[in-house]
Amino acid sequence: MATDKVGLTGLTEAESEELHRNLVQGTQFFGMIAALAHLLAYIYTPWLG
Amino acid sequence: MIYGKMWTVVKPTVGIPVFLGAVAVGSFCVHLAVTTHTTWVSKFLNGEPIHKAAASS
Amino acid sequence: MVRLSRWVVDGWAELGTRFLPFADAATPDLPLSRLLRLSLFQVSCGMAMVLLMGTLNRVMIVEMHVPAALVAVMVSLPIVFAPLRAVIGFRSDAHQSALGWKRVPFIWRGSMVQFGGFAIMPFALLVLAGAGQSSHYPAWIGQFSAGLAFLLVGAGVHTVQTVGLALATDLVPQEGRPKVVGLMYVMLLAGMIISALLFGGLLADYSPGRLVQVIQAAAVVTLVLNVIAVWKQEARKPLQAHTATASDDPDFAEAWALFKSGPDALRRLLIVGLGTAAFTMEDVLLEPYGGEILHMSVGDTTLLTATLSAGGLFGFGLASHVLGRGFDPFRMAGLGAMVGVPAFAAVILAAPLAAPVWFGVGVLLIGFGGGLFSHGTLTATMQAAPARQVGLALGAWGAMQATAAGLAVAFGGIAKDVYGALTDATQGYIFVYCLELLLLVVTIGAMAPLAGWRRTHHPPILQDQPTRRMT
Repeated sequence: MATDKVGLTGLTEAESEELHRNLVQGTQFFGMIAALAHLLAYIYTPWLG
Repeated sequence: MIYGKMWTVVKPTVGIPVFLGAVAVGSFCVHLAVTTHTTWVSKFLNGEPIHKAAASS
Repeated sequence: MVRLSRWVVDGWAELGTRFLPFADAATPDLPLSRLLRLSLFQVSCGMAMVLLMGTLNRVMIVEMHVPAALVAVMVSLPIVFAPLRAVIGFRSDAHQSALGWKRVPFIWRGSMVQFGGFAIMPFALLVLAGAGQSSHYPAWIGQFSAGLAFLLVGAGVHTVQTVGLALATDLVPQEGRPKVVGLMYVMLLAGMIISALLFGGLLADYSPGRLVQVIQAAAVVTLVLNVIAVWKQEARKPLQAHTATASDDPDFAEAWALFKSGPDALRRLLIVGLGTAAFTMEDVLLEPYGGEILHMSVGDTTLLTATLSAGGLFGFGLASHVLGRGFDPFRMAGLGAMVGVPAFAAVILAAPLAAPVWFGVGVLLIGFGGGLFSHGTLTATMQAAPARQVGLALGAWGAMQATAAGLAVAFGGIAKDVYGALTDATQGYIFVYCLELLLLVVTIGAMAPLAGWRRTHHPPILQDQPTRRMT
């Protein structure tokens, strides 16, 4: 199985893919939350003005 | 997923802290810069009321 | 540095075994320091609960002048996720992961969601209140984002707590579970008390800036506590995951049908719901009852919360001790419900007798009985959970418990107001307390046919208990 191939770090490709998916999804979620928080902060008090 | 096989080459115990740390340090620095180079953040955090109308100066 | 932390952990552990009844929960494979670390997720859950139900509730009404009805809707939003706990638990049971983790991904995501909710919450609340320049924008922006913030925090708490308890069940062998349940409850209570005091102190002189700081600090603390709690707790089982991928993958309906077919599964759930409702309906009514009807001072009514917690702590401690010796947890829950009957009777009688002392005794007993009841039902759930359905079983318990508690608190407040308006204020309170008494009797009745209640059942461990204690 290709997914069982162990890389230099000792992780298989499947493990690597799963780790990466979690990391990317987490970053996307974090980014959206940050954007929303900044938007709300802007609505509350527009900075620089 | 693109670059999904990255962690077969980069050790996750190194890569993940570096990545998350970069995000954390980066955003912290931006906020720090805003706090030290403007007056309105510290004013706000010290509890000064915000002007209600759009009377901007 | 390492030696210092070693010393702190050892000292705390030693202190624990000496003074805390649940602290001998540790087993050779699972030292107490690791268990204490795992229980930190309960501290973060307790903190979130206090912030949502107590601190923000007050700040929004008193400081931000948001209409009370809107606040009530916002604060009660997280309850819509409570029934989903069963699904979350099931998903974590069935989670297929190449990394071999079932619980960690869910706790991580739950923490992220909770963090996200707290991150946007202060701004959302300020916009909701129309503070600053936000009154130039349509009102739905504030309502939508505040609702979203509360929903996110609620979803996060439900996920973290369900899956965290499932992880604890996975890690601890059968005989150690009663003590772990005790530890989890005590940590939840500790988190709630500590954060209530902290938030109260920090928000004493309120400013919007302070609100942002406090809530976002809570967000960071949540993430830090939960990461520390699950760090290297769950063993990776990649091999098992591989075999599971090939085998059949039951959907929720099938898993639920299997769970339902367990011994008295539905009756047990019903009992959890009824008993929890009985023990929580008075939650927001105790302090006004003391102040309005019994004319207690503000300081005395605040003391009531402490009394309730003290009773709960005592209940958890006793239950951990007795259940650890092999006592049937469902009988323990039944005894808790039975303690509740004289407790509510004392609370009711306090009004005609004008005796705050009876009220205090009643509150202490409510805490004690409630502690025994929740400990007993959770321990029973853990012990009865089939190994492959731990998450589903705990999710179902949590769903029932959280839904019943939320609905009961809301119903108690409304019923007291409505019935109190029809008659007089005292009658409103008494009506709710009588209802709780009735619910307790129904709970006890529903428990009676369960195994271990009628026939006297003495496990051998219990019988040699006196001799062991004498040595």
